[in-house]
Amino acid sequence: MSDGVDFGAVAMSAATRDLVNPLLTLRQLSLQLGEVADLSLNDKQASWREITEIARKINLTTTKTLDISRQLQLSLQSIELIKLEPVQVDGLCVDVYRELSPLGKEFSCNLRLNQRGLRSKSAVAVGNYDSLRVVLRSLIVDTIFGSVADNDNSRTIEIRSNRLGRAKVELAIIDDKLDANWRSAAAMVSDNKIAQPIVNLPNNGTAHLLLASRIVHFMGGRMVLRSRRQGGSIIGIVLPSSKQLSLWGDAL
Amino acid sequence: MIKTALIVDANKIWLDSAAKRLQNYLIKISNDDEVKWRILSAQTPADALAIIDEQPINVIVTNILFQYNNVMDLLNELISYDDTLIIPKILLSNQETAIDIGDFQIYGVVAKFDKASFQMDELAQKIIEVAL
Repeated sequence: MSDGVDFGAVAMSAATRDLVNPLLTLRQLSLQLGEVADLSLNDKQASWREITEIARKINLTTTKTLDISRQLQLSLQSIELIKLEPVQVDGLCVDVYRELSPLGKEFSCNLRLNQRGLRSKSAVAVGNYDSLRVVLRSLIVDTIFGSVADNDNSRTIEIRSNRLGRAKVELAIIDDKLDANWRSAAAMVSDNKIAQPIVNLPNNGTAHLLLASRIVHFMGGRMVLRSRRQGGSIIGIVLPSSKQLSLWGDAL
Repeated sequence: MIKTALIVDANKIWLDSAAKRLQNYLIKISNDDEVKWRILSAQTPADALAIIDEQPINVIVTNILFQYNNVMDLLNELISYDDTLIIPKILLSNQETAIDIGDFQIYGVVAKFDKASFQMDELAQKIIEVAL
């Protein structure tokens, strides 16, 4: 981070702030769970339904909390520890889609994989598969969390991969409902000159963006945030493309 | 008689859980058989104001921080009218030490609770005590 600002301090501050909300939610849900369990002798069926519902919410909230922690760990480690390799981006998108689809379905959030990415000679980026997977899933979990928070059952989140010319590859998360003022966030992830990440995003998404941009920067890439003309937003991860031949599309 | 408590917090999962628990505790703690408690909830100050415009509210429990604004937007609006000024308000804070309750008394704020440590029976007790 430039201007003499210590990234570690800023990242810790953002992560601490963003962890408070899910931790308070976990506290609330655990207290509710205890009370429902106490009442379960009277109406077992109703209690079981409520316990299942609380467990789903605990699962989602815990996933979000763990993702912040994992991203913080990755972003604070030495750049040399992130080993760069050719990453088949369509394969990565499929893996994350398969992992998060059940979660999206549980919370009535329509997660979609853009099939245009699954063509022959699909894109290969230079990056680190494990780190990219953490970044991508964190950003998507944030949007699923947003759909629960807004009580919005018609939200669609699309995962898409694109070639940007010959030199770059973009992984994009397209959220048809997220409307945010991206100006301050875009400055935060592009030039890293903001001393304190103060970004108004639903459900405190600041830490995820800040940490994700750092991890992507380690891989020689950058994040792009923009609003869509038809509503919603695009969160993009642009990575250098690899010269290595893709086998993914041919294998399908 | 029906009494209504309005609870305001941006986090939908927290809000739904807290509203349900609060309802149960109010039923359990209240000694007055003639009073039935109803809990309404809102995620934003604007939604809260819309609810307050439509029906009588006996007590408001509200978080201090919201995504695009803070509780002052809500309190400033409520202080502008006699009927909303007198509604007792209880603040929920994440940073208990940073808030001096005395600064909020002119807005009708009667108590504050720390979200990280409060017990729901204490909040329910306070609501019964201060509600109009």
